[in-house]
Amino acid sequence: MRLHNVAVRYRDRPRRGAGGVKALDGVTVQIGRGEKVGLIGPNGAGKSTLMRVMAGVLRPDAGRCDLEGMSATLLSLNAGFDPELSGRRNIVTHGILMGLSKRQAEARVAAVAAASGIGDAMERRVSTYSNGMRARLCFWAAIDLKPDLMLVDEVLAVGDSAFRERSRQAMVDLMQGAGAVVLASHNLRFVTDLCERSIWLEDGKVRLDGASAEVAAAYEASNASADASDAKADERPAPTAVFLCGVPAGGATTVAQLLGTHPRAVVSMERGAGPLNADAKFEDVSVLGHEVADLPQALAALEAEPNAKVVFVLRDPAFAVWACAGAPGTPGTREEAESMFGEHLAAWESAVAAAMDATSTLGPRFLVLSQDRLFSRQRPVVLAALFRFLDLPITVNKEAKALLAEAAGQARAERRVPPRARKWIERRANMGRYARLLYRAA
Amino acid sequence: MLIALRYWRYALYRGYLNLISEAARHYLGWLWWLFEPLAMTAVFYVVFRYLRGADEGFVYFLIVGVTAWLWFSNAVGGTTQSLLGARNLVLQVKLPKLMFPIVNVAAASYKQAFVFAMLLPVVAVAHGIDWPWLWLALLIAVELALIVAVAGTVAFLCAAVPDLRFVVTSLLQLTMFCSGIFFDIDDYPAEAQRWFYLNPMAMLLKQYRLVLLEGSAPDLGWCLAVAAACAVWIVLLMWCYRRFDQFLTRRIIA
Repeated sequence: MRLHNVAVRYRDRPRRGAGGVKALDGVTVQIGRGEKVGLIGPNGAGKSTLMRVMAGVLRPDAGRCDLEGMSATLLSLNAGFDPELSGRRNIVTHGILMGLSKRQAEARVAAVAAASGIGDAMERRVSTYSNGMRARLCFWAAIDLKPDLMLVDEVLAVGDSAFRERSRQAMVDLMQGAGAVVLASHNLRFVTDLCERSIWLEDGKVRLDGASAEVAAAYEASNASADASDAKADERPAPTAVFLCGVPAGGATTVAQLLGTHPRAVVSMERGAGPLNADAKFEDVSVLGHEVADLPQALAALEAEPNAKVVFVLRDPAFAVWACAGAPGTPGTREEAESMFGEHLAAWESAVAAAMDATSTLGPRFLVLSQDRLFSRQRPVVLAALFRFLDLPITVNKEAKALLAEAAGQARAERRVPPRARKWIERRANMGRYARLLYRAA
Repeated sequence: MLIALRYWRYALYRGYLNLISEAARHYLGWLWWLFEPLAMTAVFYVVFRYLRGADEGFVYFLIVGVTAWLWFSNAVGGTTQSLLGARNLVLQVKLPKLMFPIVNVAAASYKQAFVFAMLLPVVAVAHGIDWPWLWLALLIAVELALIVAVAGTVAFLCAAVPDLRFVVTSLLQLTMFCSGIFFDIDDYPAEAQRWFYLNPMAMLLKQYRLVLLEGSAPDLGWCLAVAAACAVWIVLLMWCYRRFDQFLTRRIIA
C-alpha cells in the first residue's frame, strides 16, 4: 500500500464558509505485504483519519492512496452491532457484510464463540452482554476474517486485564500470518513489542518513520521535555481505587472508555456498585458502579479508604431545561423540564447537591465532570483534567498546553448554556464552584 | 450492476434482522405489524362510516388503501436517518451508501408481505378472487420501484441536509391526505382529480382498488410509465451515490 502526499481536511460545520481542521497534511507512507507497523502520536494527531484513508473509507482531499490490490479491514470495537440481536446474528451479519455467504458466515460462529470465550452466550441478545463481552465479540468477529491488511485502532485499550492479554496473544498470532498490520495505540510498549516499524504522527504530519524502538524513544523523549511538571505528577502515589458515579445517561460509560485509553489504566466496569477494592493498583483499576445511586457508597468509601478517589459525571440540570426548548439560546421552563424528564430531574438535582456538599470536605479526592463539556470540543481538556486528577501521567505538548490554557480561560469567561439556564443552575447548584473544580487540574 | 451482490445480500438479510430487532423491542412483537394497518383502518372507518355515512363496502376500500400506503410510508419514513444512523459502519467499512436505504425498504417490504398475507384473504372473501388479481404482481413491482426511488432520494437528501428530516415527515403526511386513502378521488370534479392524480401514490391506490375490489385490469400504460420513470431515477440515484460518496462520508463524520 502506498500513500503519497495525502491530505485530509474536515469541515467544522455543515454550513458553508465555516472553518475546518486539517487532519492529515502531506502524509507519505508505504506499507508492504506482511509488514507490521505501529502508529503512535497524541490524540488528534490524525491516526484514525489515516486509518480511514487506508481502509478506503475516506478519500484524501489531495495526494494518492494506492491499495495495490490489498483488502484492508479497519478493526474497531464499535462495529455497528445491533444490541437487540443475538451475538450469533450479529456475527453472521458482519460476515455477510465482509463478503461471506450466509452459510460461510454461520459456519464461523462457533469459532468466534470459542475464541472470544463467549460460548453459549452467543445466543443471547448483545444488550445483555457486559462491556468486556461486547469488546471480545467485536474483536474476534473482525480478527477471524484475516484480511490482507488489518488496521487496528486502539482496540486493545478496553476490557479487563485477562481480555487484554488474550487479545495481545491473538494479535501476536495474527501477526505471524502473512497479512500486514497497522496498529494505532498509545501503548508504546505494546507497539514496540509487536511492530518492527513505527510511524510517529503529529498534527497530521509524519514526524518520524523508522524502527519501533527508535521512534518510541524519540516520542517519549519529546513528551518528557514538553512539560516538566508532568514528571512530578508521575511521582505522586496513584490512588488505589476509583469510583465512577453518574446520573442516568450522564456519560459515565464514556468516561470509563476515555479512561481506558490511558496505557496505565485498565477499566473493568460492571453495572451497579461493587465493593471498593482496596488492594487494586493502577495497573488494574476497577471502576466501580456508574449510577447516581452509587454516590453515597462512593462517598463512604472516600471516608474509609484514604487513597480512593471519586469521579462524578454530571448531567447538568440546565441541560434538561435547555433541551426542552429544542433551540439554542431559548431555554425552556422549569415546568417543561419536569414534564419531560420527570423524576430524573429531581434525582439529578439531589445528586448535584450531594456532590457539591462532598466537595467541601473531600475536594481533593472528588472530581466532577460535566456531560456538556464531555461531549463538546473541549473533551481533550476534560480528559486532561481526569487523568491529572487520577495522577495518571499525561503528555502535554506545547500546542496542547496552549489549548488547555485557552480552554480554561474560556471556561471562566463563558458558559455554554444560555443565560437563563445559567442563572437557574447557579441558583440551584452553584455551578461556578463546579466549573472551578473541573478545570482546577487542567 | 452498480452495487455488488454481497451488499444486496447484506441489505436483504439486514432488513430481515431489523424486523426481528424491532419485534424484540415491543411486548406484542410482530403483532404490531398487523395492528398498525388495522388500527389506521379502524380510525378512518369510524370517522367516515359513522360521521359521514360511508357505505358498507367502505371498510375494504380502506383496507386496500391503508395497506398499500403504509408500505410506502414506513419504507420512506424509515430512511430519513438511514445514513446518519449507520455512522459506525460507514466509518469502518467502505460500503455503497445506497445499501442503507435499501435495508429499510427491505424491512418494510417483508413486513408488507406479512400484512398482505393476512389482509388479502379478508378482501378475497368479501369480493372473491378473479383473474385480474394476477395484476397485483405488477402493482407490487411498481410500488416497490417507486419506494426505492423515493427512499433512496430521501436518504441522500437527509444525509446532505439533516434539517430535511422534518420536511419529509410533513410531506409524507401531506401525501397521505392527498392519496385518496379514505376518500374516492373520482368523486371530485375532473379538474381536482387531475391535480390529485399527479401524486403517483393516489394513482397507485386507484389501481390496487381496480384490481382487488372491482376485478378489472389496471391502467397498464400508467404502470409501465411509472416503472420506467422509477428505473431511470434509480439508475440516476446510483450514479449520484457513487459520485457524491465522499461528500456523504464527510457529512456522516461531521
